[in-house]
Amino acid sequence: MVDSIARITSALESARELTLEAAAVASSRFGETSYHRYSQHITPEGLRSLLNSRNDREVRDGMKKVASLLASDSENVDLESYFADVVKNIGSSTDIKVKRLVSIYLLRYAEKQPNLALLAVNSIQKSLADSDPQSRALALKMLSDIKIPSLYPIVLHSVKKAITDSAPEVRCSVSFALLKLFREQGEHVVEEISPLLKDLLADSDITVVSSAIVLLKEAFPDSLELLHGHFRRYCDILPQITQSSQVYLIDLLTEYCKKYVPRPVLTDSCDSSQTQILPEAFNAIPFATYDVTFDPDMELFLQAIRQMLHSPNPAVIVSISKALFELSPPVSFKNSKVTEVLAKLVSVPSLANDNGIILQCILMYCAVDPTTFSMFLKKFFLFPSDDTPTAIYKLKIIAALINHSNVKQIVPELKYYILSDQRPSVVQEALNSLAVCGQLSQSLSLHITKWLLAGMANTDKSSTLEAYVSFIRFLIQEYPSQHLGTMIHLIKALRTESSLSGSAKAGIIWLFGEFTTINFSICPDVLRIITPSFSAESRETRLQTVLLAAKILSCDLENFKAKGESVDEEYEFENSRVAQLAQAVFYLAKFDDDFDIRDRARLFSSLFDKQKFEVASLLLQAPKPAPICCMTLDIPTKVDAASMARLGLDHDMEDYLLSSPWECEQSDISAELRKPADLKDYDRFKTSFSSASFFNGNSNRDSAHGKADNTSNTPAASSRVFTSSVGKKYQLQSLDEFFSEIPSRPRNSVRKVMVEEDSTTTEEDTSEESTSGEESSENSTSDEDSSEDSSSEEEEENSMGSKSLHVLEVSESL
Amino acid sequence: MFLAFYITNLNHALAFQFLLSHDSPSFKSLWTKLQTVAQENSSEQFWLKANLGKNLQVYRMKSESSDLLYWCLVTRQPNPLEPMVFLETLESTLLNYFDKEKLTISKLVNNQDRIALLLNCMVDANEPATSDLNKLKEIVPNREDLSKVLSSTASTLSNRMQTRDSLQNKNSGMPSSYAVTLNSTGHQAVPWRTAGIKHSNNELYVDMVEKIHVVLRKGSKRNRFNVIRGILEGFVDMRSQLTGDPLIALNLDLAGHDLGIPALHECCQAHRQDQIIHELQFVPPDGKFQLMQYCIDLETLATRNQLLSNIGLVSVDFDTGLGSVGDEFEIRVNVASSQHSKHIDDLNIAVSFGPPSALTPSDCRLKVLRNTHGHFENSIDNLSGNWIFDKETPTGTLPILRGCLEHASPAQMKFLTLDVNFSSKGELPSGIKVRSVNILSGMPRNITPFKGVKYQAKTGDYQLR
Repeated sequence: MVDSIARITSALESARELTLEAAAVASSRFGETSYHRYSQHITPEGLRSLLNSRNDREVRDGMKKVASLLASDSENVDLESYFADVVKNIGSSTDIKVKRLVSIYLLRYAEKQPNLALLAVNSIQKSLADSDPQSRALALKMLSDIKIPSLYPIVLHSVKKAITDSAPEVRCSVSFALLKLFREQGEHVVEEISPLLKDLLADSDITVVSSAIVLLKEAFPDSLELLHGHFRRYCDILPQITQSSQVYLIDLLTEYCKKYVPRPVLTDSCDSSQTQILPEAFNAIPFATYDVTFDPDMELFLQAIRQMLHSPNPAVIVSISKALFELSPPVSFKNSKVTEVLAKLVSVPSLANDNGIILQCILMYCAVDPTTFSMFLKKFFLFPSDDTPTAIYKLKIIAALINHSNVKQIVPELKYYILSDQRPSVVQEALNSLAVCGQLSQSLSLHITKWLLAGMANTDKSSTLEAYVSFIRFLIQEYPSQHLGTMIHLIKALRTESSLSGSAKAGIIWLFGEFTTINFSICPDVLRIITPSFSAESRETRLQTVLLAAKILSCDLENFKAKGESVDEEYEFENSRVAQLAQAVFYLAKFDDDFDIRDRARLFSSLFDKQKFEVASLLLQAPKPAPICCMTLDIPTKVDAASMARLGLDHDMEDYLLSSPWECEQSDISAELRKPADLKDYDRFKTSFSSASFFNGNSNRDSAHGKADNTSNTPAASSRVFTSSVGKKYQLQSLDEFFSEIPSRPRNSVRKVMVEEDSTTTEEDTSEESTSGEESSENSTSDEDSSEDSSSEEEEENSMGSKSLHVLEVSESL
Repeated sequence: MFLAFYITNLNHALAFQFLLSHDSPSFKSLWTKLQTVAQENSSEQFWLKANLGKNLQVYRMKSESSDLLYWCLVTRQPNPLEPMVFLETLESTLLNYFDKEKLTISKLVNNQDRIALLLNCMVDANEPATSDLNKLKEIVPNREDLSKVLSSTASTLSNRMQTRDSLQNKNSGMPSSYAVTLNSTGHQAVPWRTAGIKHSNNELYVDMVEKIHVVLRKGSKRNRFNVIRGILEGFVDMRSQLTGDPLIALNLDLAGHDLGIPALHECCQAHRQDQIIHELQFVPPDGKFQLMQYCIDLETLATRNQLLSNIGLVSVDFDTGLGSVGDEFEIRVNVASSQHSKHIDDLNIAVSFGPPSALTPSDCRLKVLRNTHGHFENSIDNLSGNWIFDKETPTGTLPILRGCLEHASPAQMKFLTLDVNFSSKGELPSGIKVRSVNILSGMPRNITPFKGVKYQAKTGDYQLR
């Protein structure tokens, strides 16, 4: 009976526990939306009291509210006024999430409240000695985020201590802290930072190396000699470091190769006595076919990056392509398949946001050597959903790739884009590319002009029309004599096509105005043809007619002068038919209802009346620049800023793609430089050896030497590792025991000595509740979940904190 | 060097901002500045880069899946890809962290603190730091776990009532199917995987999605299609919930396709550098991730028939210039029958006669004479419309639409373009299949995980002209 009652009560007890837990959870955090609504009702005063609360949950709610205020850009609450309330939670809260939220707040406001921020430093330093590596890393990050000059010596000191920390995440944040220091202090700390950077670069942990590379790239991009000892190792671990660091490291190693590794040597495969080092210009290779010999170190690097082409990160692919482009001759660049991967990246519609940028990179390669991408021509045909920059760069690449064999494929596509696309800039670019097609041969040029003339009649959009006209002008400027037929065709169009829009007519008339200088003979006739219907034409046409009249007259004057045997012979306005014709047009224009046309007519007639012929010819015969520049760079060429500007790339991309010159000359000692340096393995500071770290080391070795392994070998090796990881548990528990039991006793005794000092010196920031170290720890833990572990951890933290206090004093006295 | 991050909706209303220093501008001031610097005609573009002065740049990226804009303010740097890639990583991290297909504004606003914490880890010293999702999840534990605990608590409570006796001797308190227990002192086997994960439900799902991008042009003889573009974009997405550090082998049946050099998740590359594409071996990260992204090039296929057999269940043909005055057209759709799927979803064909131009007489009107399936919606410009099918169209049907463009010239009729949209489940257009997913090692022997495979086909740009 008693037994069953006990069973029932215990069941009830457990049920009650569960429901209480569930209710507590549900009240604050089950529904996000309901929680959000709750947090909306927190008043400014309520927020202050939440932040100052002793209840962990309330503090957390308060911090959440602070975080959402930070993120929402509201002006109702002045968050700066909560500085003390927020920052004091660094010391008092045990919750790492609260600490992280405080660190976000500090990042934003520490500089505005330097004095208050300094108060927090003490508690941050305490957690520098925390047993949890996460909070040590966080503390270091927090400390370095406070950008107050008087704090820098302390940061530097903490960093020097943390660099030998056993946890890699702490060493990671060391390099970021150093970067922050460098940004604030610049030259003053270079001597302090560079030995630490050397240590970080030599670290055995890959994540630490990744962060050290960020530091190297941001702070010392020119100190490539730091890479000497690590070159070979970095080539091996390249695939394993974080993706953003991969980009940096590939760029750095490329620079390094140019500076310290001998250039590849090319050998003519027909005549092996003919050798040459790789020239600066990508396509300036004198041999038809050749073999390449790389330095073993460079070979190692190129091999490593070639194997990274599977990377999901487009930035990595682009920097691989850049490295291959700069370090290897065309034949290896093409064989490396990097072109294929780049083409694949841009071959899907531009939902991928970075297509435009990758295309710029491809455009540069194509401009230097079109054969690199000619086999991927179809990949650059437009999709209906391509956005404007993508479409424009694709069309530019098409223009660079045009040759006799593929032009038949390209022309119909370009025609379709010109007819169907709605965006004027795309149509313009397509016309440009079509113009490049026209340059290939005369027959093509004639065919395209004909097609355009037909199209010109049908467009009414002025922007497209402008493109048409400038394009026809370009073709005519190329072969002026051949295009007499075209011009005559244009006159025919002017006379017969009644549907021709006003602006199209105006465009054609303008073209004749430009044509006067090339072939004068037919132009007065054009003027004669269009003058009778002057009043019936549209505004633009009338304006251009006036302009044409002025141009013809001025050209006639020039011709007369050139012909004139004697200087004093005067041009006879009365007897010249051209002059008469022009005067007639000016006269007609005087009665125009558009003031601009009247104005111009007056301007021109007065110019000619007052015999200011030089001014007139300056005004009217100024050479117009050719509207289209051709895409391919001159061959052979070295890529420099001037030639790049013609491609119309983004300025930043230009900077990125510009290559630095080769500097390495001496070949005999350079291999000696890259003798592997010693690694710093801080794992030995760890107190237990676990099988997982064994696996980690093994995987490194695997990836470095695994190329030779056959397929059946590798899974077997790794399965051995995994089965061994089953036995991990036992060892881990021993680690736990090691931390919780063994060192706590001797440290306890230390703590007792220090506690007094601790409580007295930190009174101001731990505020009212700190009576003694013992009591406060009891307070915080007796709330809900008192457990043995947490209290012992806290004691440990206290003892470490007092140590760090000493540190503070020491460094301040320095 | 990053200075600030912002997330807004498409109308530039702020949902989240993260300022990395005290002098980073708030979004409001950035936006006013931006409007003076960059002309705002680019809202339809996917990305934007604007210079705000000598040394300051703004990058904007439009989210692919949700109606959000991601912004970042950076100091000038040579490689414009880096900020873009970081914003992309941020988006995918958020999607995978919250385990959503699509992020809404309210989700962001409700989780502002979490996103701030995530960004605080992802960026250190104004440079990208940790980007690994599992590590981030470890640092910023997801709320999902708690709601899972709650629901599992409810279910175990009822379980407990039924089998009270058997559980009596076990310790109560923690529900037995607590989703994830983290062993923080454990050592990581691989850097991208949280150490010592334990799941009660061991599951492994493979989602294969292929997007069809095809542009076909009807030849001048008007009876055959020429291939302008043809690409299948494929994704292998995985969701793994497995205990321990399992080594997985994914065996694919490539159906004779050459995948070239696909993009692989870092876990593949780090495991072995010379992966065989159809027999990938890897130790997966926990949760959702994209294992592979590949492209199948249909342009290089030898024959046209080969292409047409690889673009999914729907093939479309059309004829123009029919009828007594040549202003009629006919669209014939063939929804092929399939063993794997009974129907295709959301079939929609946009019919368009090109932009209005000088060619077009003003009284052109698109009119539908008859259609066998679905309904037709005209748009305002009278030159285009949408043929919208039912939610589900059964496979093995041949819908036909016949219409006319009144008063159209023959030249205008040539501008007919059709944009096809549909999705289907059950098989991939390329015919690629998962042969097997094996767990080679690293799992406790007594656990047999549940494995699932899903295939889906979607259209991207599918145009006939």
